[in-house]
Amino acid sequence: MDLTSRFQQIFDRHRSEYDYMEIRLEKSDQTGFEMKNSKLTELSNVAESGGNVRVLNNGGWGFVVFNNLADLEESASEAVLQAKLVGRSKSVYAAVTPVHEEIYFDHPGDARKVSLAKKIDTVKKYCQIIDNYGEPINFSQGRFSEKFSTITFANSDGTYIVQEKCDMQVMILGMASKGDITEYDYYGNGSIDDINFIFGLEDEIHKMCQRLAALVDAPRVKGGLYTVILDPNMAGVFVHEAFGHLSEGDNVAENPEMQEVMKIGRDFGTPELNIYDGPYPGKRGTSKYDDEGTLCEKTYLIKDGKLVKRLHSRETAAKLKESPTGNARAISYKYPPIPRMRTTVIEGDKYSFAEMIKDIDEGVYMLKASGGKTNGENFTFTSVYGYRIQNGKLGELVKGVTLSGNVFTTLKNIEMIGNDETVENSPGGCGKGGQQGLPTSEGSPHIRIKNVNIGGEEA
Amino acid sequence: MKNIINLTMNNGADKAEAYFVKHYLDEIIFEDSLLKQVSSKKLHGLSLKAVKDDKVGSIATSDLTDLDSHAKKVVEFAGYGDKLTFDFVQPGANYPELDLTNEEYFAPSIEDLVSEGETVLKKILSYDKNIKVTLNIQRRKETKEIHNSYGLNLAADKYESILQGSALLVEGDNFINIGDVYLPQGGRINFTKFADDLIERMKISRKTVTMESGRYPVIFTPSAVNQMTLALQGFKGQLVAKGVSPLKEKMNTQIFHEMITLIDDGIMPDGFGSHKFDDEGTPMQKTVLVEDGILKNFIFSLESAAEMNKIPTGNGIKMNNNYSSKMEENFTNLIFKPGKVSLEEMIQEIKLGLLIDDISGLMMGNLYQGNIDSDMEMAYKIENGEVVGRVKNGALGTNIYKVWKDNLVAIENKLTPVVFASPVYAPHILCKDIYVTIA
Repeated sequence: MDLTSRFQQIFDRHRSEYDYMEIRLEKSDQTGFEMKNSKLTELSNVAESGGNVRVLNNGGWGFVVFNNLADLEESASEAVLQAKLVGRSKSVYAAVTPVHEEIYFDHPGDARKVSLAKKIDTVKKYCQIIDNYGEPINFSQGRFSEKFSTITFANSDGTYIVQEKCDMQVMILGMASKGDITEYDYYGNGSIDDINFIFGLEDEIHKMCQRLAALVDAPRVKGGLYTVILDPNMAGVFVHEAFGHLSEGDNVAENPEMQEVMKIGRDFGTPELNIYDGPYPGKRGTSKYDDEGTLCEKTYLIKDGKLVKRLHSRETAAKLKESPTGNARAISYKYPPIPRMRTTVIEGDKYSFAEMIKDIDEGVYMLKASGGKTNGENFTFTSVYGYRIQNGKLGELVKGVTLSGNVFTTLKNIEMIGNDETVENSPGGCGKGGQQGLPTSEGSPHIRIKNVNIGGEEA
Repeated sequence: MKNIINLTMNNGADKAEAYFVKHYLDEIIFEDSLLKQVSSKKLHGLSLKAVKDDKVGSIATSDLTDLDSHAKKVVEFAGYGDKLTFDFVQPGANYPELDLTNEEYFAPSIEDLVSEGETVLKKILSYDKNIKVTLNIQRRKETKEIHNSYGLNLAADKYESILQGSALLVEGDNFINIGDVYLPQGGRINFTKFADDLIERMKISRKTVTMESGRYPVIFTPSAVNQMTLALQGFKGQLVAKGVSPLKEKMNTQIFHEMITLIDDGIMPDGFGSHKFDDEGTPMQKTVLVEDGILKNFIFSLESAAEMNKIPTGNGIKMNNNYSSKMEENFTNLIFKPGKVSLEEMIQEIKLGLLIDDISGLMMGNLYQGNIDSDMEMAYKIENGEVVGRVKNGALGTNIYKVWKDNLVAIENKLTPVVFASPVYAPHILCKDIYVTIA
């Protein structure tokens, strides 16, 4: 029996026992390698296949994961029983027009057309630049991975979608050591279609080495409140952490107090502040349909400083009486889809970098994010390096700076939004609900924020 | 799964190693104070390494239907590899006698666990109906096997159970989010204690108090101490071997206060991170890392041990317990030697200070260097020997090799099991003066 007939038979068999049922199968093939000090230490291929059945009944979910496709029918029966055990209310689920579509990867920059040997040589060349730099740099690490996955999705509404996706990442890390001091810097990038992103990075890596060597002797910023300018990479992570997560519908749907906090029309910043999320051509996290079969769309979250929408799965959209946005995402077949960001962007405004810096007496210019986190109300994120700003001019290089603050206050403290909007493919990914490493991307121009708390030693 | 070794050798490998894991997991999820989902996962995976002409390659797969093609592929991959710098584990080592299959975890039915979860909800909501409770109850049966072409054939079962939860109260723009993880320590999960602890912490967190930026005595809770252990990256043999650990030249010197003794114990009975062998087949063991503040050992995988000419310590662990992840060095159960004072005595001695419970923002900082750069996501003011309320919008920036050395004043006489990145049996730790900035 072909797959679609099997799916249909399962949907039909249990039709009276659920409000909604979906089946998601995934087959993926990932090749990756790692180098330490230009020596290949890990070369692997991961071929994975598995699937899940998710069932909604009376507001409760059953979810069964399996590796063997032979277990599909049994898993469906088990998920139905689980949902019956959980369901105690009414199922609420936004309608989505059923679609039949098969989307296969087709791009001239297909990574499978480039030999593994060439990819290894390319990354090795970058690691060698680091290794040959000399003191104080004494360690290099290079990582590359490419993953092709085919996701087959069907639901009891009649949707049947096959999506073939690609996700690639490269990370080149350098470490320097002098006495007790250890510093690091990295180059990271990714792509969902074109392997050429890994070529021609020699200048970037060389600049990184020069900066890393200087970072070892650079001072730390003293703790205190500063006016900061974030580069587009840092500002992108800022918008992801400080606002994006708060916009995810599952934080809001069942919590009346959160609905007050995230009330449509609330002022979140100056009228120049516009934030959106959605698919973005070529950027990690982009696909045509989400993991519930909803078409992904560009969604303005803040328009002219005011909250206009949240990011949704079908369930959270219905609970908040909004339309689904195509943000129900799962890291793999092992997990159910939940509202997650894709590409989150602060739109550019009018200021040049020179205008932003000219009247800052004492501040910090923060560059290159090494990560961030939020608990909804507060956020923290860290730069790999920065520069002091004194009397309107860039000063000395400083070590990584950790910035933290209250989400609501900090968004309102954005004083200037630059005219150089840049959307980047960052490596790594986002973590939420035990689903780590989900590909996302972020974008922003330079932004200037006042009264930012930087942790550190006493001034 | 032994057969895969023969298949790989028959396909031309000089050496081969297989790591196989299968697990069954039950999970019950409550979200926003509602029972949301029951799920089960039946998963398995094989990771295979082959060495040919001294070069190594590896593959991983969840597809066990065509083992011969995997055997062929891994040998082909080895052709791209570099020279393997370490050898696979030889058979004959002494493996610890550990029973990690506590049937108690699987005694309750799913319905029983749902009912226990509902009891937690009821208890917390009876304190305040506006609290949104999240609970994740998990139990897991895992079988791990390691085989290699030297004739090593290891297999062991491990059962785990864990309760994670949080209580969120939103009052205007003030979010109070208390999270906790409960490890049952050999018995069943104590749901009542979990609920009581969350309520107690919620009570004190509801009152927001102010404090100025400044230098204060600070008590770090076991959760915060657990987070701080992420800054102990310098103990990893790989960083030492590459010359980038700040501890590389500190063996047998005083790196922490003499009150700190720190043991990595992979064979602790009922330890959450205990096992008979690590993910490379090395017997797990007890390793004294720091004794009376003096650095005694690093942790080693096969690779870093070979590079440093040391004996591997059983710390070669696949990240996130994922069969396809690469091997890293990680702690097993990190255990502090208890101190001499109680938490109450520590608090009583402080006129004006802080009790810090969550500094998880440090994950983004320079952990290689031991930096602790973070916001204070959950911190409380101590005034005249009493915890008086929550301090918000604070941050600190310091270094573990500073705060656990000259700045350390006392260690609690009790350990609490906590798990963040790896399991830690941690005390409260009192430091005399740490500079915090408060916005």
